[in-house]
Amino acid sequence: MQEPDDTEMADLLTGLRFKAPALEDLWAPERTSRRVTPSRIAIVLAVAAVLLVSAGAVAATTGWFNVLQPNGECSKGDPTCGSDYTQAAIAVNHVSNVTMVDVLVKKGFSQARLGEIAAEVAKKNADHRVIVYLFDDLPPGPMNASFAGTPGDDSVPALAPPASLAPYWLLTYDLGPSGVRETHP
Amino acid sequence: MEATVASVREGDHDQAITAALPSLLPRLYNFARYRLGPDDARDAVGAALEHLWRNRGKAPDADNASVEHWAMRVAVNKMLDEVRRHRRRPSQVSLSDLDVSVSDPNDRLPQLLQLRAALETLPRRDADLVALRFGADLSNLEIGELWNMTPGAVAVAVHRALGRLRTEIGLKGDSDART
Repeated sequence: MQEPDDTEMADLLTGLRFKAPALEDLWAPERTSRRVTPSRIAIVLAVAAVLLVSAGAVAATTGWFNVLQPNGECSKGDPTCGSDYTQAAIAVNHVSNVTMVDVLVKKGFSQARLGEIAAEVAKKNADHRVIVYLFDDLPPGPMNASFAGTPGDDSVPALAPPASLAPYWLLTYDLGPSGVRETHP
Repeated sequence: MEATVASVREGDHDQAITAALPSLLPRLYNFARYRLGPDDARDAVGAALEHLWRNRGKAPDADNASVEHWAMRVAVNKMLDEVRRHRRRPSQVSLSDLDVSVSDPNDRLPQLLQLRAALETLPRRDADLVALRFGADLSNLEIGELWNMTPGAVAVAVHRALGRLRTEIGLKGDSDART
C-alpha cells in the first residue's frame, strides 16, 4: 500500500510520460546509427500485417503507406519524397485475395537481404505466393496511390507494378512452392 | 480479405506478439526515457524489440494475454541490459518528447524536469525500479517476477526509492508535502 507521500510522488511520476516513436521510426536512418537488418524489417512487416488484418485492407494499407512516407509528404506530391530510400513492395497473394505491405528501408539495403525477408514471409505463409518488388528509388506520390488502391483486387495482374514504374522494377523474387526464383523484367 | 484474416491462426505466437507491440512500445519507451536520453532510448527499444522478435519461438503456448505478458518480460529484461550499456555515457535530461496531454506542462513542467533530473541521481537499482514501476507501468507482482522478489518486497523497495527521489526534488513527506 502506498503512503500519502508516496501517492504524491506516484502522481507526479504518472505525469512524466513520453511520446513513444512510431515503430518504423525506431530504425529511421536519420535517427539511429544502427543498420537496418532483416529482423528489424520483419518486425515492421509483422505489424503491418496486423494492421491489414485488423483494419481492413484498403484503409489499413493506405494508412500504412501514409505512415511510412517521410512526413506523409508523398501523398502531397513532393517529388523528393522517398528519395533516400529503397522501397520494397511485398505482395502476398493468397488464392483470390491480395494484401500488400509496403516497406521503406534505408537506401543501399541489399536485395539479398530483402530476399531473406521475403523468404521469411513466405515460410510463415506456406500456402501463399510471395512476390517482392524492388525499386531503386521512389517516384513521387502517384506510385503509392496506385499500390494503395490495389489491395482486395482479385486479379493477379494487379500485383504487377504499374507500367510507369518499369524503370524502377529491378528484380522480382517469386517465392512459389518450388522455391525462390529470381526474375528480371 | 476474409481469407487473409482466416489465414491468421488462433494462438499464433507471431500474431499475439505483434498484436501486443502497440501496447508494449510506449511502455518500453517510457521505461527507457526514465533512464536514457531520447536517442539512446530509441535505440534501446529497437534492440529490445529485435531481441523479442528473435526469441518469439520461445513464447508459451497460451492465450494472447499470457504471450503478451511473456513478451513484456523478455523485452524488459533486454531493456535493463540496454540501459546498463547506454549508461556509460551521460543521459540527456530533456522533456522534449513529453506527452503534454498527460503531463499538463503548464502546471508541472518545471517539477517534471526536476523529477527527471533527480532520477539521474538515484542508485542504479532504485532508478531501474522507478522506471519499471512508473515508466513501464509494471505491477509489483510483475517486477517481483523479473527480479525474483515478493510483491511485498518490491513495494518496500519502491517506497524507499520514492523517498530518495522525494528528498532529491525537495518534496517533504506526509502533511508537509502539499504546501
